[in-house]
Amino acid sequence: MNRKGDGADIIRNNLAYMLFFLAVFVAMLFFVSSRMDNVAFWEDFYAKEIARVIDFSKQGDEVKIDVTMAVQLARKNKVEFDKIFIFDNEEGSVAVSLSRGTGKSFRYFNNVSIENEGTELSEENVEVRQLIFNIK
Amino acid sequence: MRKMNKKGMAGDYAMFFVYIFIVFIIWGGLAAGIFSFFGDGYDFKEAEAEILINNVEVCLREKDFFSGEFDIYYSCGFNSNINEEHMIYVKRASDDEEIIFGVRDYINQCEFVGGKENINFPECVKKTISVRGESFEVIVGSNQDSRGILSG
Repeated sequence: MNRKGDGADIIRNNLAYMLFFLAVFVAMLFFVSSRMDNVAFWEDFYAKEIARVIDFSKQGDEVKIDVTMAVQLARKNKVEFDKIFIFDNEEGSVAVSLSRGTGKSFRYFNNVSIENEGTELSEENVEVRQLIFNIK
Repeated sequence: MRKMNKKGMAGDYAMFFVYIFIVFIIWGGLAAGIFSFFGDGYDFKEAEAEILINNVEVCLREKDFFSGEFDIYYSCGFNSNINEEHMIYVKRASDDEEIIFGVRDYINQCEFVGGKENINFPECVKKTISVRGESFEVIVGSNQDSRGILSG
């Protein structure tokens, strides 16, 4: 038997198998890591709940929402504060992003503008972070 | 010169499909497990339809929906985006005159029995409202779900 160069042959013959496995493995890794903190669920949840509050609101209201969990998840995933909650007054939608590169957007039907949005610590409990904005 | 041995290679190549099948079974099972554990997301359609029908009721008590130049977006303060994934149906009982805003087909989809269990169908809420001695049948449907976005 000629065993010279057998190692290289084995790799060459199975290259397609290895590349395919690697591609599927990387895709699964992204999928599993995005689901590990249930980030997709919480993005969905916060986008819909904020839209619900806006739909209930009237012009002139100031809204404060406890977003501690969202901020903690975003911080863990290295998302900057000003990119977690983004309001689009043109489209009438709110987008929530708790992991880098992804997010969920939901449209509210109430024809209002969102202004002065920002997050700040609660006065009653310093561990609670609130999203604050005005309805115009 | 190296001589290639092509004898029996077809069997080797055919194994590639078996390999793909096994990989999909394993990873597909894992993906299905993760989906079933974490669920489909947060269903908000019915809650949104409830809020919308309450807002329509408030507006119906103040405005005449059946006047010629009635504009629901301006008069009731709704975004024009409700045209795309919502429906507002109002029927006046006295003369059966009806008016529909948004996706007109939801009026049929709201009545489908099979649609109640199907997440792709709209969630609908019905209400009978009496205003100024008139009775109105109002149906509101919502089929809006959140959309995935790419963020910076």
